[in-house]
Amino acid sequence: MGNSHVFALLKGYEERVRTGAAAAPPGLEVCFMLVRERDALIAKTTPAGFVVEEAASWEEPLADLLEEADHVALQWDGNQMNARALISGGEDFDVILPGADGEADRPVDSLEIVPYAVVEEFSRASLAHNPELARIMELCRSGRPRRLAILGPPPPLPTAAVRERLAHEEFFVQRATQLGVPLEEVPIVRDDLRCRLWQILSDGYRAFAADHGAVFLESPSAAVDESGVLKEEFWGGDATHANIHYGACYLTRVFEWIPEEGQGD
Amino acid sequence: MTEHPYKQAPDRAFWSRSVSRDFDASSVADAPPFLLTRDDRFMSAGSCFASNVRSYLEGAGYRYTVTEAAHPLWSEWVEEAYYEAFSARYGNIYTARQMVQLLERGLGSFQPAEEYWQSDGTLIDPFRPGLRYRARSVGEFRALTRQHLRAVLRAVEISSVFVFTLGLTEAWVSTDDEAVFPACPGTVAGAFDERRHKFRNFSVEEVTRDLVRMVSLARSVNPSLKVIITVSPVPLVATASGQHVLVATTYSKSVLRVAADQASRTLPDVAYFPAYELVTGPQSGGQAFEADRRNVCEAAVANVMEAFFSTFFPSATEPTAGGHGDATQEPGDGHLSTQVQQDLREALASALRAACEEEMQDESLVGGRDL
Repeated sequence: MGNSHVFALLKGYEERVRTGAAAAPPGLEVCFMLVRERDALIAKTTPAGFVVEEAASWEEPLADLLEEADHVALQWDGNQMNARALISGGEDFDVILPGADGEADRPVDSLEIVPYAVVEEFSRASLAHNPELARIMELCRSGRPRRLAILGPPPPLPTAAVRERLAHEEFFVQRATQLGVPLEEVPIVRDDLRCRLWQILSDGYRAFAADHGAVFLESPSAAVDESGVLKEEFWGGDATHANIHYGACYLTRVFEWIPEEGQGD
Repeated sequence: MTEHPYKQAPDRAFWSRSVSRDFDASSVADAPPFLLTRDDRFMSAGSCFASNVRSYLEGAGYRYTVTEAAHPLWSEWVEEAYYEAFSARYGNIYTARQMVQLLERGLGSFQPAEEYWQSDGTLIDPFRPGLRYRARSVGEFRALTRQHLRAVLRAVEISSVFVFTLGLTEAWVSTDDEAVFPACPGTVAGAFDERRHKFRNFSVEEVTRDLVRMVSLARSVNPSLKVIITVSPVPLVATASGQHVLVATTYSKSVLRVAADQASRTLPDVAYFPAYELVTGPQSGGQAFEADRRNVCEAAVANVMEAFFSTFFPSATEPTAGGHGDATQEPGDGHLSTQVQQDLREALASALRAACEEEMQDESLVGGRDL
C-alpha cells in the first residue's frame, strides 16, 4: 500500500500476469491499496483477476484488510526530494555523503555545501512527522502479528527526461509561462546531486523501517544505470514516477522477502 | 581667577553637568575618526552583546553583510541563534585572540592542531561547538570549514565597516598551539583534557597587540575597512581565575577597555564606541540590567544603539525601512529570482499531484477488470 508510487507496483503486477511470469508466489493473495488525496483505491487480486473498489477514506478499509494480512509492504510518498529539490533555487549546492566511495576527494569548493545532517533531518522528518503514516503504522502494529516491509522511493530520472516530461504537465507549463520562464530554462537540479539526495531519502526510509521493527526493501539495484539515475526502460510518464516494468521488478524484490509457506521467520 | 584648561572645557567634561544631571547619551562618544552613510555596509563580530548590532542595523534599514546563511532550498538549516546573529556563522567571539585566529585560519596562516572532536559518529568544530548540524565525515567537515572561512573573509572583503565587541580576557586554549576556544572544552561540547587544554587570562598588552593584529589582518583583505571597537557591558558568567566573579569581571572589562582605547588611538580609522560606559555608568541608575544583574535590558540596548546611530550618522537621512539586504544572498542561478524558482517548485508539486491522481483514475482500474 501507499501513495502514487504504488501505482507502478500495481501495474507491474498486471505486467507480470500479462507476460506470463508468476504473478505472485503460490498461495499468496495480493491486494494493493492506493491512498490518494481524498480517497483510496483497493485492488484485490483473485484467481479470476483484479477487483477494484473505491473507498471514501483509507482508514477503515485498511483496518479491514489488515485483519487478514500476514505481510504488508508500504511505499509511502517518495516524492519529498522532488518537491524540494528537483527545481533549483539559490546557489548551486552539494551534499557530501558520509562513507561513500570517492566522496572524500570530490572537488566541492565551487559549490555551496549543505550539511548532510540537514538533508538527513528533512528526509527523516518527512516520515516521522506525517500523521497519516503514523496512523498506518499504528494500524499495522495492532491486531494479529504480521511482517512489515518499507519500500524505498524510485531513483531520479535524468534531467533530459525530466524536462521532456515537464513539457507535458499542463499546469506546470501554464505556470511557467505565467512566470515568463521558457521550459528549456527551468533550472533542474543536477543529476549527480539528485542521486545523492535520493540516497539520503532512501536512508531515511531505511531508518524509519528500523525504528518501527520493519524490513527495508530498497529500490532494485537493476533499475539504476552507471551514473545513478533510473534506467530509461523504467522511466514513467511524468517527471518523477517509474513505470510498470520498474513495478514488476520491485515486486520480485517484495515477493522474495515473503517466505514460502511454512518458512516463516 | 587664573585661566586653566577646565575653564574652556565643554559641559561633557564635567561630571556634575553631564552625568549628575542632563545626561545625554548621544554626547558620550568622542567625535569618531570617520562618519558613516547609508551606503556603508556592516559586518559585526564579538561577544553576545555584539549580536544586537545586526538586528538594530537591519531594523533601521542599514546594509548588513551576511555571507553565510541557510540555503534557500533548505530553510530549516538554521543553527543556534548565536550563529545566525553575525555576518558569518562564527558565533560569539569573546576574545580578540580568537578573532585574530579566525582571520588567520581564513588566510591560511594558522591551522589549529585540534581540528575537530568526535562524538557519536559526528565531528564537532572546537571553534563552533554549538553547531546543530555537525559533519559526518572528515571530508564533509573540511569542506564545511573551508566554506565557513571563505564566508568570513568574504564578509571582511565586501563590508566597509567592521564592528567588533570585546567580551572577555579569559579563555581556554589548546596546549598544542594556543588555539583559542570560544568555550571551555566539555561545557558546550567535547571533553576537557587538562593535558591538552589550559586557562589563559590575557593582559592589556596581549589584547592590544591582538587588536592591532586583527585590524592588520582584516585590512590585508580590505584596506579601506573602517573598524569600530566596543566593550561588552555583560559581566562574566563564570571565572576560572580563582577570584570572585565580580573582581574577575572588573579586571576583564578594565583590560578590554584600556586595550580598545590604545588600539583606537594608535590605528587610523579605528573608533572606540562607549557601549560599556553607557550601560554600566551610574547614570543608568542600575536600571540597565535585567533582574539577574548580568543581561542588559532591551531598553538599555536601544539607548546604546540610538547613541551609536547619532555618533556615526549625525546627518543621515532616514534609511529605507526593511534594509537593503545583501547581494551575496541573492540567487546565483543566473537570472531567475528565488521567488520565481519557488513558484516553479510549487507548480511542479501541484502538477505531480494532479498527474498521479489522474493516473490512478485509470479506467481499467476504477471500472474493475479481470486480469
